[in-house]
Amino acid sequence: MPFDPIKMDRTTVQKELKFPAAGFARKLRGYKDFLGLLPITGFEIFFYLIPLVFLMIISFWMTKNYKVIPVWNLHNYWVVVSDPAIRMAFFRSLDITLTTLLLTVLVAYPFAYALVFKVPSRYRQLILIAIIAPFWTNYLVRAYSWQLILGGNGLINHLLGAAGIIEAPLNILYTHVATRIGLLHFLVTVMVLNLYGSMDNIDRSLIEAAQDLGAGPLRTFLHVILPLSFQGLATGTVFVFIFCFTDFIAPSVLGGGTRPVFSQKVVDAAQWTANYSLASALSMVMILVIAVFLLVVFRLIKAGTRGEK
Amino acid sequence: MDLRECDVELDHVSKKFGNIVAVDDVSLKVRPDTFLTFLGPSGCGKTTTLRLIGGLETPTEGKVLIKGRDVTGLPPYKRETNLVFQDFALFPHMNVLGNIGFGLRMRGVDRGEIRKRVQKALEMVGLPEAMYRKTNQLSGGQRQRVALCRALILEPAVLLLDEPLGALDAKIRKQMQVELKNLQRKLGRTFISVTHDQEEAMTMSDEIAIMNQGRIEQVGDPHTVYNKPVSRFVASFLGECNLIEVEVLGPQLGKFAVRNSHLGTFFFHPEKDWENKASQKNTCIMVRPEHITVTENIQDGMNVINGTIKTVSFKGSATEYVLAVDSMDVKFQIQGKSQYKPEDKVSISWRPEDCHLIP
Repeated sequence: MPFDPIKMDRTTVQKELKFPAAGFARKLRGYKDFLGLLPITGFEIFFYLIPLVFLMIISFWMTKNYKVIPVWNLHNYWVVVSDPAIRMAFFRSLDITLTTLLLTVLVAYPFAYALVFKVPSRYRQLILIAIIAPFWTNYLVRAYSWQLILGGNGLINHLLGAAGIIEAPLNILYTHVATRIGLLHFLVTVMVLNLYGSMDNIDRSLIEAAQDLGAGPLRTFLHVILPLSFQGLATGTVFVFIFCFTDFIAPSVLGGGTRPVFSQKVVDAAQWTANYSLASALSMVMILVIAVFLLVVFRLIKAGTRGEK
Repeated sequence: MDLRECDVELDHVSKKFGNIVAVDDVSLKVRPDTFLTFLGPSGCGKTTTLRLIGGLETPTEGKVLIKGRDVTGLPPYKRETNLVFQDFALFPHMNVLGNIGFGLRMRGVDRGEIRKRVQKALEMVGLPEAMYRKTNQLSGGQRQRVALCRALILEPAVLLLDEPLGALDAKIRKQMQVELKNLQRKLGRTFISVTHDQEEAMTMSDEIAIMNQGRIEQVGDPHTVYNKPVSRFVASFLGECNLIEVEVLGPQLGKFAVRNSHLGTFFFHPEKDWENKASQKNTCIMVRPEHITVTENIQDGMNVINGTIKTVSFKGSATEYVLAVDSMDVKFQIQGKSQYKPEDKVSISWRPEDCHLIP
């Protein structure tokens, strides 16, 4: 069909007359690519964002006689800040979180380093599977099995007693040492996987270059491997923090109820005293703490990668 | 040669990776102030040999000595060598100052002094403004110079270069060949480089070590290796050559004669020990295309071949001809533009000095 510019012009003009909204439709078509995101986004908006907004609103209302009354006030937040038991629980949570985070990093780094750089590649996959395997069992069930190990009549006390190292059983279970152990068990795996990913990506010739320029194994780690695995460390840290701070199972099953943590306070308020507005306020504070932490970490990531990008 | 006079010595060094022999019983002595290049095809073991000298690999057998000291078991951070990597291996999380100054930092030099020396090094390679730039803001040629600075600033006894010009485009490559050579002359230190580019090796090196399948076939200066190769591999690797199978006859007409059953008798000037190999069968002579000319005047005792021109290729500065003779093709080259056409019958010849016998 020969190219007829005059005819073409006419059709184009006709099109414009028939569909004045053609421009708008064209614009919408540009967003067609985002259609794929609609289901998940919709789901999140409906089941997460909207309930979150409800939560926020309730935290500013009151609860009387187990009913939530829409009276705007700051009383709940005042309780959160001033109640000594709640304050103690908050700092206890923070303490457990930060110490567990530190321990996780200290344990995971050497392990991931050995896995990436020292273990021959044929064993690597096997070890990775072995680390991930415990994830196949339920977290709660694993927490209960820690009870068997850490209890007064548990495995550790039996072994230590039989070896004659201790006389009276150690009081590990139902303290926050047990809590930390339970959390560590889970979180070291997460951190190792994150660190493994970022360390494995490091160009081996960079390590050889560092050695060639005079850096022994320790300094090569400090000056090359550590900075370049920063990404994995950041991701792992975020996960560990959020998990530790918000976890309810480990403190309850392993830590006992005598020294409650923040997450337990939320449950107390929601389940036992049915004070939903207080529970909401507590939850809001928890979210705020996590948000602040994320902000700090992302700032650090930006500062760290400014050298790379 | 006195051991203490070598900058590098490899003593029957072998390196095996599982069942694969990468380096096979290599021995070599490198004199001070030499630019040596390991040349060979991919997989011949040249990079492995370089890494053995640098300490990034440990030999399965044999010893490595640097300046007379046995460094065989020593890791790279305890050797007086520095390596310029093929892909430069610049640290992405540091700027140019951090990269070049890394080695000095490891030695405990204080920051002000590092900054001074790095600035001086950058000026020496023509990058005076680059100190605070990030490595990803540099071009290929600039990165190479930064990698060079990073190694040279530590003043190693031996500088190792792994395919230093491989990542550069052709124009910069030629320029850098000359610059590297001048740098080595100026510093007076031994440079050991690895390449598969024969032209690069010939331009830059004082000595070339040609490697094939883990072994060194020949070591010598470019002229010797080019004109007097000791094996067919060396002859054909370093540019074009013609290899004619011959049987050794013995002294004749004041020169040495060899014969090819189809092409006749040829004469050349032998090396010292050829008198002992009078009836060697499996030898060949090598003639480089640029030494062959077309002759009209045929005399006795000349090396002559008669044939028909098969193809003509004009290469710009010279013309390449392929001459069909009997069952063979002979390549020769004449400066300037083409004077002969395919199907022309010509006689070509070369001087006895210009051919070489290969065992």
